[in-house]
Amino acid sequence: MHLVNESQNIIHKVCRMYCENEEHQKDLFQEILLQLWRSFPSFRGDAKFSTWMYRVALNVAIQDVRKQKKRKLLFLDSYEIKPDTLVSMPYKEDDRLKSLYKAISMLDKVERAIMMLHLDGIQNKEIADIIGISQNYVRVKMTRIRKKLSEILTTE
Amino acid sequence: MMMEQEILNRDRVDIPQIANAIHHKSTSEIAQIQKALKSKFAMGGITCLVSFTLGVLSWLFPEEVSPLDFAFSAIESTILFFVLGTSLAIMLGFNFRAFQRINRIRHSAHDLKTNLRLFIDSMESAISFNIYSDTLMTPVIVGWIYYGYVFRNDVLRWDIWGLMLIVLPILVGLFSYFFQRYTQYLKFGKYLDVLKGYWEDLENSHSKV
Repeated sequence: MHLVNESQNIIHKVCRMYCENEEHQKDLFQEILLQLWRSFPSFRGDAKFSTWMYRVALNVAIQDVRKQKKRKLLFLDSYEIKPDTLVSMPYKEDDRLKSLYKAISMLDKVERAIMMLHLDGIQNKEIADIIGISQNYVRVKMTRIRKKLSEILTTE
Repeated sequence: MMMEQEILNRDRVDIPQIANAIHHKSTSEIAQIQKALKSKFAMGGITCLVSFTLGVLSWLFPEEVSPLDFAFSAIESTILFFVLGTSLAIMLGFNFRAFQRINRIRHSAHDLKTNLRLFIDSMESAISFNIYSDTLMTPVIVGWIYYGYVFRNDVLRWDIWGLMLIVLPILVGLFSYFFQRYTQYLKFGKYLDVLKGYWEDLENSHSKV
């Protein structure tokens, strides 16, 4: 429980990456916690706890069947709800971040997962371990995702 | 990324809230499917047991135990109970396999690609169970109702009515199979296709890289 508590930001990050409203976010958060609890005996300690948590959280989020009305990330909502936090950021940087998250929301669920892990500063080896692909393919995927994102950002 | 951190800090919950969330029941699709399999297993298991018990009793004591004597003779009842019991036992086998597959992924933490494959297999297993259990049970029940109704006061003869005893269950079985396939596709098909797309993309990585 304490381990989960310490790393709960991972769950919130995944929820915000895959949910479109607060209710969905709450449900997904609960589902991820339940799955973490159930599958904890499978954690043997050969990988980092955070890697294991990312695996479980992403598995639950990607299998989540709820139909999304429109592709929108909760991160965007948060930016909209809390204008006071925006004030503290230089305008251009905030605008760029919003556009980036909007573009990420256009990606498919697996691409979003890879991008999120990359943005979190996770090494390719660990990303490969979480996703179950080779490091080479992570690099290939990242190149494709970057290209896709830049195409989305330039068309906007 | 400072803003992202602020947002995430706002989301944080305390340990009692985490403990509380763990004790809630899962509302995921897979949990719903597992719940449905469980209740079908319980109902099917009880009916199977009752069928075999009645089958044995009506075989050993045809005079005393003949609960369907308004439609069937003692020997017909015995056959009906054994056919029903055997069909249900086969159905329970499918059910158990589907349930086991789902259980395996609910207590594991594989990588995304492996988990996707296991999840797709579990869903397909549960879908197959729904399709085949109906394909098997509906003709058995319809066939016996037809037999009981048409030959209630008559012996079985191989005219058009007797032939219908073979044709009707086949037709009902075929209809049931395609109807179930269609409804299961409506329920899960598109969703499964998306997941298969993700999995294939990850699986193809081996051949591409």
